[in-house]
Amino acid sequence: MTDRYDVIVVGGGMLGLSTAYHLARRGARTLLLQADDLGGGSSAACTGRAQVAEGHLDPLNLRLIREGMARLETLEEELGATFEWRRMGFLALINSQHLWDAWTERAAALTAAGISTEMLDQAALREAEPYLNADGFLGAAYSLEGLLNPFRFCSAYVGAARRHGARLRPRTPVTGIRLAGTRIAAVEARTERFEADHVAIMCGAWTAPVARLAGVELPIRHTHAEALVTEPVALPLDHTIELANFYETIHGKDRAVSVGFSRDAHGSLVVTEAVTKTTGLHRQTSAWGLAGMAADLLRLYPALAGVRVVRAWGIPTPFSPDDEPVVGWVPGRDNLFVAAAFLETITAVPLISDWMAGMILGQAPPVDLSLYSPARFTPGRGANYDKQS
Amino acid sequence: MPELIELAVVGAGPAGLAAAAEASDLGVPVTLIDIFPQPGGQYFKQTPAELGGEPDEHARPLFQAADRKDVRAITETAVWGIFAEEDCYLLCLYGPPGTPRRLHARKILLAPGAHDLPVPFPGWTLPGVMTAGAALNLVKHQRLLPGRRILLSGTGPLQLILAQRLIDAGGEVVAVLDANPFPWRGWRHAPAAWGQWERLAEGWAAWRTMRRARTPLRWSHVVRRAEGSGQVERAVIGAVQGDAVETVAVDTICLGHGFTPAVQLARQAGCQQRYDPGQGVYLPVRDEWLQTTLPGLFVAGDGAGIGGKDVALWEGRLAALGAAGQLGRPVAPDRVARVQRELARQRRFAAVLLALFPASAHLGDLLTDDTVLCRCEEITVGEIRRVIDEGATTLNAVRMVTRAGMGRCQGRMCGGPVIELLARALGQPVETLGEVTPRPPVIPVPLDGLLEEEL
Amino acid sequence: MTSNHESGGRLSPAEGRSSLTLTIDDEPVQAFAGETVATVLLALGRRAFRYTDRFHAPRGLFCGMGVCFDCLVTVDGQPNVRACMTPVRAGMVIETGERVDA
Repeated sequence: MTDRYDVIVVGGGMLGLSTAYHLARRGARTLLLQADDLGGGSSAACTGRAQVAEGHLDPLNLRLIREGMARLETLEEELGATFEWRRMGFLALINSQHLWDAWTERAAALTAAGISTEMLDQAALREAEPYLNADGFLGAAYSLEGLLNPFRFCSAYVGAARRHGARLRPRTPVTGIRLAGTRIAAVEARTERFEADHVAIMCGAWTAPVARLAGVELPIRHTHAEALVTEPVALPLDHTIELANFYETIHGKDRAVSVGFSRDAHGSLVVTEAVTKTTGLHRQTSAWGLAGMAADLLRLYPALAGVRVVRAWGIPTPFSPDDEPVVGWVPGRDNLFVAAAFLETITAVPLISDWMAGMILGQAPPVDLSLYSPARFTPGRGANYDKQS
Repeated sequence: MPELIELAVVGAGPAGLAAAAEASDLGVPVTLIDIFPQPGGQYFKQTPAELGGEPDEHARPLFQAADRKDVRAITETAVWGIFAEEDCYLLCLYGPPGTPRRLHARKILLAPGAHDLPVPFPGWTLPGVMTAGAALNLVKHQRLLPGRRILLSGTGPLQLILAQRLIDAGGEVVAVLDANPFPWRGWRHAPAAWGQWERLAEGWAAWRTMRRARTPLRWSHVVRRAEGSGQVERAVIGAVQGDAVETVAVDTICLGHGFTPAVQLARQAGCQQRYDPGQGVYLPVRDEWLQTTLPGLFVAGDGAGIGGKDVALWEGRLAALGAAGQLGRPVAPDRVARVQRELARQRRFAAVLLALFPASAHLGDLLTDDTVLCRCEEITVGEIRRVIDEGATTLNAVRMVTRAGMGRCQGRMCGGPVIELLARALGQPVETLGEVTPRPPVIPVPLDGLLEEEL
Repeated sequence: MTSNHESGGRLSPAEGRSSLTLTIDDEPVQAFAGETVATVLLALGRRAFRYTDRFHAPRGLFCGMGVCFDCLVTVDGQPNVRACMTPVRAGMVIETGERVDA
């Protein structure tokens, strides 16, 4: 006995869940298959930051960020559930002149695009963050981003998707994808078999292995990121903090720590990020990663020395060869759609999922998304697979 | 580079101390690590000398083991993570200034013990409601009566021992409630009790103390609710199954429903686990030497499944023989045979106690929607039930959405109760509901404690 | 702070013990070497060591062995210290009461 749908979404993190919601809302018979718990994967292991200032500066991305934030402001109302949404100041700490110059340009471009970003000198930085050891920093770039509870964010989409009739199946890993020529004929999950007009794969770091089941090679790789969370903290730490030299720190090394943190609604600090480049898809943490994040955090905020770490986790983070997201129909297959590898995922999700649902059902998106198309990776198109250092 | 040692024994309770002595007898230098200032764990906890403490006669030879020159005792120190490396294990430690932060060990013997089984009911978070272990520690090792009018609720003979101590110390023990029925079937197990004279004598003496004090022992009874303003003032008592209740004035309730193994470190290290329905918990899979699926990593004592202090002693010895053998020491087959024989004998008796006094399956009936299930994050039973109704079908899903299990105790108090609530709500066995893999640090450690070197 | 029994509950006679003074919520208190902060609070009839964030509920000693993290007090300025795991020292400054973040 086979179940038949208009769309099967493989992957039940925030991208898959939001897309399933928009598909169901448009009246499509929608099935979502998620390997573990709904909202699991990287969605369950992120800081909940809705970033605005650190992505690409092309018009498409800027529009996605600007309109994405606007959509987030009303999303709790739209979905009928709360997820601790609030605006939060963001500081990218800058320790070199060339980064200062680069960020000054970036700030201008963002501001012109409606994402107000300003430069703070060292004195202004000290005033904004009195507990920060600001020695060695020229200052920081400041922008207003957003913060939410990622579990509740996903739960909100789960509830809304189900209310609109989507069928969501957790703990149902896809084990096979059957083709009829160049068309996906069925999706298998162990002994179960599902058919649909269209299949969308949105599995985060697991997108490439799942796409391989359909005989498709996508150049989406992953780095492994470790994070930790503390008990609630009393210090007035009112900004999300990152180091502007993140990519420099990681460049050329197999593993490195570039510390940052944000503070959840509970008062706990979620501290990131110990990155390892060459490792399998797993959720382990390491002594090196925990010690590295702690050491770097305490150099910045010595007053946090006695604050206890309560949990840690590791999660693979997907990226594409040119760091642009991968969104669109997969060449060589009639009915396979893919979406993965966003940089500022949470900000993009509410909007892009709406656009993608339309695309999957045959409508053109309101903007040209060919910049993100997986077709750019087809051999012969001159794609550069080795940009990522 | 971290110092390389041959054998790390984590936990200085009966299993750890016996293991250290056995390994040291075979010429293996031992590093014995424990979170308390003095060895002994819970079973052999030592009263501070300043409060008139004298070592327990039984424990004295074991404590002498910890004092041997080739046993290096690292106290007040927690092992917060274990990582398998190419040919050894990395242990991450946090202790007072001067304590090493990292060690490499060829072999590890975990003896982390257990803690009191948390059994939630309405009002269980009120001050004055404490575990039997907490009460025993107060009266025995801190020389303090935990209260004046004390009620004991739980199961098993250890409650009688606690009652005796409290009565001898001048406390009024209003009643001892055992959630299980009177152990009529106990007679069938009489052969397993052969040789356990001391234990039987202890139990008998405790029973006589209770009789003299007119402290009733009520079978199939339990505290259904604790009430009071700011602290416990009343207990609502009733049969485990049934509606009739009575209210008694008390200022202290001691919960003694048994123990639950401290499995976090073994799981974090990556040992394979198997669900044990008898104990209602996932336990590390072990071979005949008590080695886990991680080569050279052993678990002995209550930390691998509740068996009591005598099982712990002999498991510690057996695992130490296994580790010593792997380290190339000559292990005498006679000794191995003797240890295995004694262990089997002690396991038979322990199995009887577990069979007669299991954690009652009906305790989940006590929960009301307003019962706080996750003590740290104050998540109620009602909230968890709602999330289950909305589609959460695993422990992890419940945890992610409600925050239950995300507090400082890292799910030690609520993990079991949440999974049982889930099992009842879904009508599914516990083994199907998933687990949460502990990540390091397995106990909360300050940021500066994670560093490889002290600041 | 009400209690169902008078201050005390200590079993051994005070003679023979080594006494020391510490401060609890700005009041000087006598304690004995070897006792934990939890013991001293209970001996004073103080069962509620803190109040929780969400329901403002009183909490005190529960597990007595450092695993439940309910018995949290501020010791010498350090918040969220487990009273049951902290032996008293002369001159120690202890604060109980409302929720204190780290």
